[in-house]
Amino acid sequence: MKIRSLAVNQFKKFTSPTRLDGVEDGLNVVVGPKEMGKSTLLDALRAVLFEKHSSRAQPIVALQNDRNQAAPVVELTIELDDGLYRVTKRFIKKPYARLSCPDGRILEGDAAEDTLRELLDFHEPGNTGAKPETLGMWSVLWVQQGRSFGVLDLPDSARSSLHNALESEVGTVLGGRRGRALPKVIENQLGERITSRTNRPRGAYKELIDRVDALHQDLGALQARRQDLTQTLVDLEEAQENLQRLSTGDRDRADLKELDEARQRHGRLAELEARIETACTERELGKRTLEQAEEAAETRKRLKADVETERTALDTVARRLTEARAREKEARSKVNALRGDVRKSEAAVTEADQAVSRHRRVLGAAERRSRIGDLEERYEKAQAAEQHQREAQQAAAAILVTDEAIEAIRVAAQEREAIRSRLNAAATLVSFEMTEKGISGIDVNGEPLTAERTFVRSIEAVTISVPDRGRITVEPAIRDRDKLLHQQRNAASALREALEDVGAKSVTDAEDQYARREKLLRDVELARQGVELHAPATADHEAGVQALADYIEGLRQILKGEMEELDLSALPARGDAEAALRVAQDQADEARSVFNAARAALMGPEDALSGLQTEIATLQGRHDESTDRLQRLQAEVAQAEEARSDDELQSGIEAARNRLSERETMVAQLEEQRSDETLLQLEARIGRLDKALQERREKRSSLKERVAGLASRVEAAKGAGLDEAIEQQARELALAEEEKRRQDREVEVLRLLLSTLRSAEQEAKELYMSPVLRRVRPYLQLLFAGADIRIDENLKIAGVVRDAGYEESFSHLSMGTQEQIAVLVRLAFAEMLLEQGHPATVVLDDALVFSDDRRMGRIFDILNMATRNVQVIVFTCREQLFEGFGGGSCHLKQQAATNLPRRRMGAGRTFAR
Amino acid sequence: MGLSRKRSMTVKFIHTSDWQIGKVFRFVDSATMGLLQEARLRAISRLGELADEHGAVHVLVAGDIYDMEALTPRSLNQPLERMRGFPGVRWHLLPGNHDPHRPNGLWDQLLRRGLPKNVCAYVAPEPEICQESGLVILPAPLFHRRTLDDLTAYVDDVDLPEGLIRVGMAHGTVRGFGPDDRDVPNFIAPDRPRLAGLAYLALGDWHGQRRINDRCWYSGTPEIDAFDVVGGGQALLVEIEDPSAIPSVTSIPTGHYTWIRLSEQVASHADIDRLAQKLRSTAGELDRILVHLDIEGTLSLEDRQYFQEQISDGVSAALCFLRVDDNRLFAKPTAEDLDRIDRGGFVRTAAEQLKRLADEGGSDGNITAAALERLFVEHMKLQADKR
Repeated sequence: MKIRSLAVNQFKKFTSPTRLDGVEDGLNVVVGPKEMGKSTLLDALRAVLFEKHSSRAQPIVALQNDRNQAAPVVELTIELDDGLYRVTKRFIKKPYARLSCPDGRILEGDAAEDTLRELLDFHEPGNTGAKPETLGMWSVLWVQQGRSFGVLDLPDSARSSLHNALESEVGTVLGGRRGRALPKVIENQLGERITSRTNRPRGAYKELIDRVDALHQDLGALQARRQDLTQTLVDLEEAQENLQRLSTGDRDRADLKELDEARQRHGRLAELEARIETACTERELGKRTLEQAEEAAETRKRLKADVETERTALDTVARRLTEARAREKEARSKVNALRGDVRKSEAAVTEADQAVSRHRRVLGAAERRSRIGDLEERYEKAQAAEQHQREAQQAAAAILVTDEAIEAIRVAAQEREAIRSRLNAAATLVSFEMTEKGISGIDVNGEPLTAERTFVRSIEAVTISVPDRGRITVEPAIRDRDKLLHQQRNAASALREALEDVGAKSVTDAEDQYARREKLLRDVELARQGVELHAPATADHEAGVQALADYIEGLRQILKGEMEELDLSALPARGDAEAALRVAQDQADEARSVFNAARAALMGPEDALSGLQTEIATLQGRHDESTDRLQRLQAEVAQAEEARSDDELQSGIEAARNRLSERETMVAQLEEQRSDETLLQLEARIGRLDKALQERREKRSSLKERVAGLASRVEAAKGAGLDEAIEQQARELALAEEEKRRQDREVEVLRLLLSTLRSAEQEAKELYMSPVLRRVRPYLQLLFAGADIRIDENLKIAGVVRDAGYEESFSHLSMGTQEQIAVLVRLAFAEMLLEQGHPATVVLDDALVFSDDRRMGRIFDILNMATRNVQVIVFTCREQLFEGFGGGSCHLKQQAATNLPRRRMGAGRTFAR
Repeated sequence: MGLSRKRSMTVKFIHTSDWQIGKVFRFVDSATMGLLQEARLRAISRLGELADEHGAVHVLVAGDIYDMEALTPRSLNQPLERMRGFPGVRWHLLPGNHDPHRPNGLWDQLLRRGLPKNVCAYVAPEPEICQESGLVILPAPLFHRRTLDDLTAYVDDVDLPEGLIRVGMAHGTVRGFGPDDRDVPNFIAPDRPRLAGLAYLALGDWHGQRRINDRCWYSGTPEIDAFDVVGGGQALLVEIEDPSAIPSVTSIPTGHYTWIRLSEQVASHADIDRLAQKLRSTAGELDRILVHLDIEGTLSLEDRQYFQEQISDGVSAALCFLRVDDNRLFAKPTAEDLDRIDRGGFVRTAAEQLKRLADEGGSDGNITAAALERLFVEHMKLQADKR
């Protein structure tokens, strides 16, 4: 179908006849400002085709102009395969509908509308006006403003048309309602057995699996109990056999007999052993009695020997004591004589020593006196030097020319000399070269000229008187003469003052005085050094003349005391004193050597005496002790003999010896009665047999207990009927396992069936949608390279598959993209319908408002591609944007008011119903 | 010897074995198992009745009175109480390989508690003389599950008074698997009667009745307990006129349930109908019949469903028990099956995919076939719901 023209009058805002002409086959743009009424034109299109002229429904009433309330009239020309059709409708007031067909028929009223519905395949609108459902495919292809984006809203009628179109291309691939229900049923059945996500068993299936496990475990437990029973039976049998064996009593009887015998033998042996032991004890007692008797005899003998020994010893000691005493007496008299010699020589030594001492003191006093004499001599020299020092000091002090004074005088003298030299240099020289004769008589400044004095130097006027001749005055012309003269006067004055200060007459005098002073000062120093030399500081006194004098005085006092002490009126000479001392010392040495000799002679006899005295003391002690001992021993012997005589002792020994012999015989006799067996052996045997019997008793008792215990266990287990229970349990398990195998298989079957159905369904859907996809893909590729689209079997755009392979949900895409894709799908639908001979035109009202300019170019390309087959009319207010659109532009034109409603299109006949 | 004396010497007894009281039937449901266990007890009563009926004073039970050693007191006592109910009959019980006599074992237990007066258990290989019947019983009780000695050997050397009819009782096999039969456990020499001068050797262990020779018989179990037992559900009435006479042996039925094993092939709707018919027309009361059906063949999906309805669910309800082994019954979908699922659409695609996989076979072929079958069933259900 192709729209060719549209005219309206009194339709909404169009109060005057307005016409849209020049609509071409392919792409058309109706451009105009926003208020132009583009949407109104789409309303007019929808009204003239899909609304009933007779309708009084609200949407129809709303087609009137608000102000003049005139009847809206619309006229549309469309071209179908068989030619042009013109539809004219007037609504509300005197409504009519008219369809002019290419074959010349003109249908009126309902006939016109019925024919139109047949031609364009839509449904009769209801009382409330046309709805998307009644519009069918047209509601999809004709998009009102603001509806071009978002999910394609397909009414069932449209979907039905599309399904018919699709099936006419691909055949029946979907299974219809029953086909769709089948996977659901299978899924439900599978879902009862396993969870859909994790494929884990659930519900009764899980319970069955759990039951199989539980039965396995129960069966295992029962089998273990049965095993236990079998083992218990084996144990019981063994225990019973053992008990049987132990219960016969043969061994016990044999053991008891042996035990009895052993006990009897043990008793006998024990008795014998006791008797042997008693005999042995008695034998030992006899031995001891004999030993004691012999011991007593021996003791007596030893005592008597001791008495004899002691007596001999006492005699020896007494003899030696007498001898020692005689020797001691002799030695003592000799020692006494020698001691007298020693005492005498000792007194001589003391005397000589006293003499030496006195002579030594005399010599000391002599030496002190000699020292006093030396010191006095030095004292005098020191005193003289001190006197001289004082005098020189005084003389030096009387001279004023000190070092400073002489320096000042010398400076002043040099100054004066310097000025004189300068005057001299400046002075005028008047020299006289004359003979001696000539000279005579001539005086200069009043002084006669001599052969030695043949010239005069002066700075002042020189008056030369030449006798007879007169006077010659020489007036020197010297610069600074006055100044120099002044300086000369000053210098002379300074010198004079300096000299006066020190009382010198001249410089030479000053120098002489200075030299004299210097010499005096040197003398002072020499004298001082003399004092120092003669009266130096020593350990005994300070330096200085007075200190020396004090010291000498002290020495004199000491000497005086000494002399008084020695009772001397005069001191001998030092040499005499020394000689006397030497003589006294020699005498003292002599006396000492005599003394030493006397002492040496005493030493040997004294030692001998001392030894003798010690010996006597020792011998005396021994003599006393021996005497005591002898007495004691003699008393002892007497006592013993009195108690028991020697004969008695001897007879006691004999008796003891006989008794011992008897007892030894008895022991030997008893020991002969012993057999090979020992008590230990017999005791071990008795213990062993006792233990064996006891153990058998205990073993029997424990075996009886064990048998009873095992038997009761067997009894208890038998009561449980384990074999039967195992068989029952095994049967349950077998049945459960069979059921589980069946269910496993069921799950496997259902899973295979479901997956086969699902994949078949998926493939079918893909095949089913292929006609649409095949058409939309080229457009989509232009817009989004590499992208694909997924449309579900309900013809809903589900998502876009990007180049990378991931799918984006359609609702997550941007508005612009959603709109673009929705437009492309509409184009594909239209193309498919057209190819199958259905009428289709795409109308887009202000579409693509969300698209950016960059992409608009692509969209235009796509629209141009699509409109090779499909007519597309775009209403837009964006004139500028659509300049490069490539389609034909259509414009609204105003017409004469009378033109539209009355004009008859075509020249056909008019049919009326 | 006078005729009259000879006549009076005639000994009549019933030979039975392998009661296997306490046996558990693993493959059947609990209700059926209860029935089968009850039937085994009822067989004892039946034997008592038959003894009375035929004037047999003795019932020789040649081993495996019990199925196992450790049974509940109830299971132990149930057969004793049944036997007690026949005071005119003397019951001779022999421990078998399922219930050997072991120290402190079940026989000790029973003997300790005391057996009914008319019941005698042989726990030692010692002859038992029944003077009034002129009969001496020579039992060979088992002491272990397996023994390598022929326990009847002692009978050869037993010193017994002349003129008594010697009857041996043993439990084991007379046939081995190698050149030397004696190597098998619990072996019994089949010529023992000849060797030991036995008039008759009553054997147990084989559940099917079997004549080994004139004097050596297996009585079989009185109530069948497995599908592979042939000649079970019977006992033997033995009449012996004198020690050297060939015994007269008569088989007498005792079983309540019939066990049938069937192998059938099906390929069509008609085959299924025929099989159902065959099963329904099995001789005897259907609720006394247990069937193990091995079914083989290939069916369309629709027929597979039909099989399920007719056989597994239908006929099965008439029988005491039906066990269907359908491992070799294959469902092969036909074009019609697939068309019934859908002529188009993805469900049809899935069905075709499964069919292709099933045709390829492989380890998952069974699963694939089952999945396809399931698809068919569920689709049909949905269709039915829709209707």
